[in-house]
Amino acid sequence: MSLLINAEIVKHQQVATGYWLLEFLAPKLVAKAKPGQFVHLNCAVEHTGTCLTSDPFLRRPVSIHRVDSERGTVSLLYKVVGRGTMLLSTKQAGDLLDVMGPLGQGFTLPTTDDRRLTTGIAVVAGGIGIAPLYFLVQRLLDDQIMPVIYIGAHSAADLLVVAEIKALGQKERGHTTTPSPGTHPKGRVRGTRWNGPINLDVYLATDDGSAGDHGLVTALLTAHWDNINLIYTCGPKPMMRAVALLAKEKNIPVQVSLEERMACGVGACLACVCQIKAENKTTYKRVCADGPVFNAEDVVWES
Amino acid sequence: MINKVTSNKPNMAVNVGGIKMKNPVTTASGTFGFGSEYSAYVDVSRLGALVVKGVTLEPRLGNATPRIVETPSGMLNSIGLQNPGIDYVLKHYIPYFKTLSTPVIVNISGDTVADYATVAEKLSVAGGVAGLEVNISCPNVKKGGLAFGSNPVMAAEVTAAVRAVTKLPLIIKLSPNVTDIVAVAEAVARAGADALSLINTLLGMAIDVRTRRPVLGNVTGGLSGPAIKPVAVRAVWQVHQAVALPIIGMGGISSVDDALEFILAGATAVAIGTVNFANPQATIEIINGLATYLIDNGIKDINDLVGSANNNARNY
Repeated sequence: MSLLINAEIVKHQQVATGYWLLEFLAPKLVAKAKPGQFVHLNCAVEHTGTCLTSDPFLRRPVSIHRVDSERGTVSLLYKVVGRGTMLLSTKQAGDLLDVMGPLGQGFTLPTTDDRRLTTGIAVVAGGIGIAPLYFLVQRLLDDQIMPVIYIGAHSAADLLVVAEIKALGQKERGHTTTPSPGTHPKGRVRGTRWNGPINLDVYLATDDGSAGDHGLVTALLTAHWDNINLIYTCGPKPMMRAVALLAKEKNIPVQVSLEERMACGVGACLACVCQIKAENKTTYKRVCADGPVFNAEDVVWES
Repeated sequence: MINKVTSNKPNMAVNVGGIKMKNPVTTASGTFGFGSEYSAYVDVSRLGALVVKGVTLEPRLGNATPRIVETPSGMLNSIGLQNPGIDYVLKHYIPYFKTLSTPVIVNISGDTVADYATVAEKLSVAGGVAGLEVNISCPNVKKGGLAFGSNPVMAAEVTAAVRAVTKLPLIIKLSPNVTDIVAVAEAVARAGADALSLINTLLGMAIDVRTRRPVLGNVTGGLSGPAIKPVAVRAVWQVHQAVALPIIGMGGISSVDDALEFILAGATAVAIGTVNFANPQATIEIINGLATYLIDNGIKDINDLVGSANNNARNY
């Protein structure tokens, strides 16, 4: 069940031009949050809990970027795109943030005994789409699944948290909680396990060639098709559409995180819908409550 | 001692056309789903009544996206009455409604007068429904909706047709997108309405200057939120002067003071709408705030406030 809290901001800084990293204290939210879920933020000008303005009026949905279970904090990585996010960026450490969440259906992590489905996991990000995927990588690594990461962006300045993602692999893990080799805590049998640091494969591409490969991230992916069994993706719709259509030819399942203009965030207002195929019919599903993560093959991709 | 405490507690209960509400606060149709969506944030049993999402005879897919756009102190929506149809609602939501102690008011819509009557008839025999709110004011569908609500003769025709098939309290939801809202209110009153809801959204539009195209998939949409509050207060005031029916006032209410403004203008109850999206606990805060206002001002019964701004109005 989702929470409605006034959370203390513990850290808020611009990490690249126009991109902000906001960390707030919310241990109960951390305990519930799953990768791919989001929080719904009141960005309005507030003073001691009272809204001073009715403009902007609506909340802003922002995906959960990472959680720190030890410190009980949630981090958001967001881009300033309009008045709501601009106001959000003026909030400072020590301020309270009015947060609803965690909301939505996140990514489904592999839970199979089939070793093939816990290898060949590709995580494909476009621009700010890296935000929820960082949390996903955190959880995949916790589950002893080592993904290959592909990040595309307009230019080097828009490639975010690359070093932090690589650092996730370098973290010591599992010393206290790892059971005997080959047995997962939930009874799943796995092959190779690791306790120490690993080097994550992170492939980069930029539209202008200022970092990584010059071109689209999908070009990097296609070079690796044979090793990929499952794709998680978040980014601009044309990128996700391209990933979905390419993967469909190869019969590779894809989980996509969609975005739409949102009002309530809880499935009541039917504003943020997207077209989904179900039982040979096209229907509108709610991005906030039925998503934001959907199976790409169910999504009706407008050309 | 117990009796004394009880007698000091001001009366918050109101009666809207036969629907007994323990307090005057309800939800605006379309902003609160079927109630269960908000159960994480709101104890639905605290509401005076629950007005649920609009229901039609057949399932409706709804309009193309984008369906909303934020505007100054409000938003435009063009959902297009997306709903699973009356038979689905009967099967899947009526059992939930029956578990609630709060009266449930179902909002109904149709393409034709016969559609309204069929849906009303089905809900009348279903049980678990305390009243019907007849939406003759949706600006976002091509047929029905506003087409009925903008013409007093047609508005009366829909009202009479629904009246003929149900004994449930009948609330007619009026549109502000008319030259004379009082004329429509009088017409539906004569046709058998028990109460009135006003106002529905104001027809509006937004254009994206970068793409140079209308923002909404449906081009136009309904404006709601604090931006429309003065228009809504005026409509409640005007209708309350002319028509004896109880009014559920709505349009941009986001605080207890806003709710009081509607009550003073002539609303017996108030519906909380768009603010639910910004503050999911707004209904509860307003209920608490009304009780505090009554106590602080020594008012024993909230019904004494209804329309009382009229007594205090200056004569020009």
